[in-house]
Amino acid sequence: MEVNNRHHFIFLVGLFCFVGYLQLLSADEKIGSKEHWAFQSIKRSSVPEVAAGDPIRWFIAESLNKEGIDLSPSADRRDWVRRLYYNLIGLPPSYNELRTIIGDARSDSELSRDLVDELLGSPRYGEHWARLWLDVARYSDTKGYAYGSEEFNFPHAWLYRDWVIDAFNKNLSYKKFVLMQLAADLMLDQGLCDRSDLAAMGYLTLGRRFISVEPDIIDDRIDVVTRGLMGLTVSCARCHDHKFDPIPTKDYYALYGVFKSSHEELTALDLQKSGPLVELNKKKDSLTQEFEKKALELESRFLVRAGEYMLASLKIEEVPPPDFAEIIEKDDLNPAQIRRWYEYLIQNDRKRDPVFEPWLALAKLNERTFAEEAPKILDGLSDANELVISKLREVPLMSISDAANCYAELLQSVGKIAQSSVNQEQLVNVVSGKGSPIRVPRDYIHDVEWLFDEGSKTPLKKMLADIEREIIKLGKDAPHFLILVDRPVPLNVNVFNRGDYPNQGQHVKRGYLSMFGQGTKTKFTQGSGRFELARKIVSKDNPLTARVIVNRIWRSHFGEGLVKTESDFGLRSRAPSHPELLDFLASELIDSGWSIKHIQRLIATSSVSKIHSSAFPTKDPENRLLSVYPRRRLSFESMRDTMLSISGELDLQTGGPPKELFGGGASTRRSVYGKIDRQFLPSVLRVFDFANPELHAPRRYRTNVPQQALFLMNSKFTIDRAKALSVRVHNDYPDGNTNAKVNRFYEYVYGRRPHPEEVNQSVLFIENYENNEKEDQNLAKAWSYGFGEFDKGSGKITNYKSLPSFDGSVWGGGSKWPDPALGWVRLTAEGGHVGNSVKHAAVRRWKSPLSSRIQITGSISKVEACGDGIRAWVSSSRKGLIANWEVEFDKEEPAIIKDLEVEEGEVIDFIVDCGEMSDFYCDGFLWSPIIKSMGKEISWSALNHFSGKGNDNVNLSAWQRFAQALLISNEVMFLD
Amino acid sequence: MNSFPFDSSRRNFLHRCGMGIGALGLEGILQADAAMNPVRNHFPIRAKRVIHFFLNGGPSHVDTFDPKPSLNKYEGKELPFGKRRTERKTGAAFPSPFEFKKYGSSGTEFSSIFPKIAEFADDIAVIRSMKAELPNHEPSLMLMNCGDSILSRPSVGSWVTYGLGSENKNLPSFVAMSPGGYPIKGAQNWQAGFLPGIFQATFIDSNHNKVDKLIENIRPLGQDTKSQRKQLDFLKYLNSNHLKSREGDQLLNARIQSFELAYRMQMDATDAFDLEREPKYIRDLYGRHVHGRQTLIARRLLERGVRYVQLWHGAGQPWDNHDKIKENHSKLASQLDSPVAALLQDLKQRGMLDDTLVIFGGEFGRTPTVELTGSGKSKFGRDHNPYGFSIWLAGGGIKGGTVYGATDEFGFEAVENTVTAHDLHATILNLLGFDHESFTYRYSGRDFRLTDVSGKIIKDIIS
Repeated sequence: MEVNNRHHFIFLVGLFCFVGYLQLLSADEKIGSKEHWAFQSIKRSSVPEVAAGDPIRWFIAESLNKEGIDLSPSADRRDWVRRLYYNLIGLPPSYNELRTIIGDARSDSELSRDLVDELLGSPRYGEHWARLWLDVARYSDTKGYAYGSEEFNFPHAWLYRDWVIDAFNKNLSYKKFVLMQLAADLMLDQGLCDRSDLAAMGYLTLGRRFISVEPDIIDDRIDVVTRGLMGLTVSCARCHDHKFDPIPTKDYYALYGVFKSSHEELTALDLQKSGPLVELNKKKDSLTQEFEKKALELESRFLVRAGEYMLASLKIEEVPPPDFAEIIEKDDLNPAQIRRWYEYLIQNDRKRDPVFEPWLALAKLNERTFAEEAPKILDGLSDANELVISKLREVPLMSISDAANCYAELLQSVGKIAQSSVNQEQLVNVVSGKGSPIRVPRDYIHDVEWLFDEGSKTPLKKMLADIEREIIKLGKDAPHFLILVDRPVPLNVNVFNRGDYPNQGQHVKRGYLSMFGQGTKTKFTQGSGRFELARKIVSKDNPLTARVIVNRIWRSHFGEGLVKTESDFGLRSRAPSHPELLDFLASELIDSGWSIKHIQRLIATSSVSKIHSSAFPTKDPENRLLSVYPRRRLSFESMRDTMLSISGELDLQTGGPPKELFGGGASTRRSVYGKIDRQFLPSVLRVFDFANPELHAPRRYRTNVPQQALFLMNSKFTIDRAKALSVRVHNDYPDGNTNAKVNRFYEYVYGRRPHPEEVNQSVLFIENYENNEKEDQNLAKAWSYGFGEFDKGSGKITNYKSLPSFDGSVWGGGSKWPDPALGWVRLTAEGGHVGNSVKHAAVRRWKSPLSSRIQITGSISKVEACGDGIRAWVSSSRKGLIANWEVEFDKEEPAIIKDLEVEEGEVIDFIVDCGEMSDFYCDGFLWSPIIKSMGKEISWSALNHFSGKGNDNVNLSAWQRFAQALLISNEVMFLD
Repeated sequence: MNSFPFDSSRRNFLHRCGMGIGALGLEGILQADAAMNPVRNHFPIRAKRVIHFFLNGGPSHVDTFDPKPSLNKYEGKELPFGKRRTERKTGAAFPSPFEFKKYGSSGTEFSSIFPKIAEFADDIAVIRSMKAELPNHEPSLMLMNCGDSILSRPSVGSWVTYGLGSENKNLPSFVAMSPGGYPIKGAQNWQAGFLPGIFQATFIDSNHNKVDKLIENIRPLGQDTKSQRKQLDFLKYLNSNHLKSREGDQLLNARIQSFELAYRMQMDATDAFDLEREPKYIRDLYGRHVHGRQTLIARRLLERGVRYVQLWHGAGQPWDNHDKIKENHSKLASQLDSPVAALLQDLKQRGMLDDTLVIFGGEFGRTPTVELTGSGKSKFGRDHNPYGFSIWLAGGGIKGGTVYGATDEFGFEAVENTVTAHDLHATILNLLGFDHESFTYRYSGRDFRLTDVSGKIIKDIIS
């Protein structure tokens, strides 16, 4: 074994940081982290009596006054009402709601109070606000990169999402909200929460799996807890003391111990449900049996080689680190097991452990003088296990490996010792007791997979994957969740110097961050210490937690936090724009019993939430003092939900397994219910600045790139909404005149009536577009759709018949596919499918309306990988065969005919069949030729001029294009 | 023309002040949904664009660019020193089944599986002393592409496009192509990490050749561009009407512009991917197969201002030849030899090689010892080897005809002038005009660099 070459690199990291630290030390001392604003206790400023009704306005106005800037007047009621809707529920008000509200006789303040209450009471509120938290929690329905033997999806990550939604809706106190996410398992034991609250632990367990590399999984957990809840970048202290903040590495490893002492468990949330779970339980049982069998085998190997492992653990610096993945065979000394022995032996009490006290003392001896010194050592140990001592005295010990052999022999003989005694029990404990280094914990496979050899591990992982798939398949009937539970014996770790496992440093007890106090008070003593950690985080002495969450809420209302670095309140963060306001809100949160809705109400009912949005004042170009309301673009979720809401399609069903937001069969439910796959995040989400679910996301970027415009112009999603909206309006006015319809469109989309000029322009666009469309309809007449048999002799189609049925997007045999009479043959705008025999070749026919030279472009491809190839021909009624191709999967054939002379009335057929073997399986194809008349600037596109209106891939009516333009316009997409 | 999605004046200001983007924190800068000029470069610009051939799976250096005659002497015998630990068990010394020859006036040696690339020996700098950290694909891919084995960090291409912006706002500025689907680790290989999502590469499965399969939503659905023009004109009317009472709002203006940009992108992108527009002899030069097509598309993209193109050999990890290295490596090399040589020739004749950096290599090398089956039999292949491997560079600022660094006598470990991924990244950034130490991004309370806290520029391979 040898030292991993990363040591050198990581050493440099350490050196660099150390130098950086020294340089900063003097500056630090001057500023003093003790004086840093965020670490001071929360100070509640008194608000004058007159301002008690709207304290937020008072804070904002005070700081504006100092700079001589005026607070903007109130916006139109229409604007601020729309703002309240979006800020509280993420959806627009309907036209009728807006009209009623605008006409309401109540004062603005009275009205907003009632409206805010109403919106906070809506189930939509939790759906909107959960998403903010899901960014913080780096929520994903999938595990990230995983090996093929694992299930890629988390079993029921969505239970966490639904738990968060529900927590917001029922206004669970933020304190409990935090406690449960870190320690619901321990709270349940004490009757402090329900079993269903275990789903809260998704905050810890739904991170990336890091192919089961423990230090990285734990790092992600430390990060999401410290940045997410307290705005502290503790992960920076993984390799070295934090460069800026008072967070030494030993604090990081004190938290590391907390998570090291917890393991994962896939647990059933509803113990009553058993009916549909027979199959699942069978699978679980067989995994348990197989696991048991494999674990027993492994344990006997670990026992036999206990001496070798003990010896190897003395040279931990030579053991490869946890992320060095080797294929381990049964007879290899497994590095993971060496590390386990090491971790077992470094625990604090082991030096006084009767069994291992002799070992640890002997291990310190010099090799040269070992034989001489060993007996003296043994003589000096009065409290040691007598069986150990006598075993070690059986023969003279020449080296530490002799001692290792003694231990191995002794541990193997434990079961055979006749009478039971304290001494024997101590040994039994080592072999099979709680926290034994030999016993294989029957935990979640991925927590212990490194202990197994390749041949044993893979089948177990596959069985687990199978169980997880079954759970996912059962959905709501099998509510299971991945939680953390405490290990029977908690473990402390050493600092990994420079973040490098083999480079073990100072031993650290599990505990809290030392910046909040030193000494034993900050050490954790109950189990892993997770519950203690959670309580520390929400304790009154912690000034960060309340500030961090109210700042996140503020940012959601005003587009910018009072502290701009939402997840970094450390020494490098900029001071808050309104420190007193931040503290006021934080203390309101705590005093209200950690009520999030209370803070929402304070903010949303304040007149500051109603101020006008206009250009930022020159005296405050960033608008940090908030004299005007910052106009902003809707988030991806609000944009999508808004479009669905306007088109009347939004499905308000709540909760449940995730849905696909895009592609065929895409859901029309709210975006928060969409599937988040962190490994293959749909590019649409990325393009629209969705939070990267790889890791905790403090905020979303706001970019403006043409890909966003392309999505709105050309995606099926947008066009489907435009169609639905158009249908909605037409249903309102089956025979309505154009003006009335335009009016109705404006009401649905903008929540207002159009001005006369807007009506004129709209009508003009529609008429103009319709004319265009008529031209297209003319072009579409050239195309027809049928089937027949290609005759090789003549190079023409024989027995041509029209396809009898058109269902809106497909020409085929009838309403069923395959059709009982005609089979699989069909044609769509983009391609089609061959028929069951050569007699049923699919034929797309073009009849030339003029005499001209033409050019044909396009390409043919076969859609699916299965089955054999397909044959394709272009044939002319005058000239016979023009061109032909044979196409296999993956070979996209360009189908181009550069120059062809056609006469008026001549027919060009585009023919595809299944081949002589009549193997028609999987013979779907894509081929939508474009015929261009040279010199005449006319083209007939199989795709664009596919006949049949009101379906995919045909020209939308002018009304639909009108609807689309309204839907994607700035008036919809921006919040004033 | 350059385009960038953020506010220009402020960022330029920061750079003029020599403070770097991190100094005031990006949070403020990212607020503006406006167009932006690129970060000002720190060094002379030697390369304006990069093309990276990624031989995913780990090509064997002792069979390609690092001849080891000593392996012949020890054939079938254990190496005279202890083997380093790798993912699987290996046995005796396993000489390369391929012959090496000297090429060009520089006399750089290439094995017989890359005869055409070898003809460009005098343009190429081979690094024979690369070192990775772990013997597994996943972390090594991450290290080579993003500079960190495990943590989610932005890829080189994301950093570069973030720093340089795009030269063609109608095309994505960072493109990754792979025939048949994703390599191992998928999109993480070209991830934006903590940079804004738009700096992630646009992925293209080069088995397709239709533009709408290549770039999402690039083609109007259900209407032609003529009708779409009418629709966009109406949209412009709606938006300018809306803007009237909100004069001077840059966010609104920028969004109006983005639709015009998108409209033009539809045409330009189609053009870039249309190989029909290339003369026949050029298409033949690159080869009428998927690697030829992919490489030729790449050249068309680079020509149009795309900054960073990464070409993967294929889905999964084709170069991961644990067995039958002779057959497998010959086949894989023959797929790349012509297209890569064609690219070098083509770039040269267009005068583009001078400012295009070409990179060719994998995530690690392979053992000089033979991999064994469970029962200890030879698999005629090689295991992963992170301790030493080769890559080569050419073009933009590279000193051709150079061989840099060396592995030990058998090729197990880099022993002379070792080069880490950070060193390579520092060098790439340097050629592109960036000082890797001051090119930073503030995230989570820290100013991050592509090269983290290390990286030395390999001066000896720079002309």
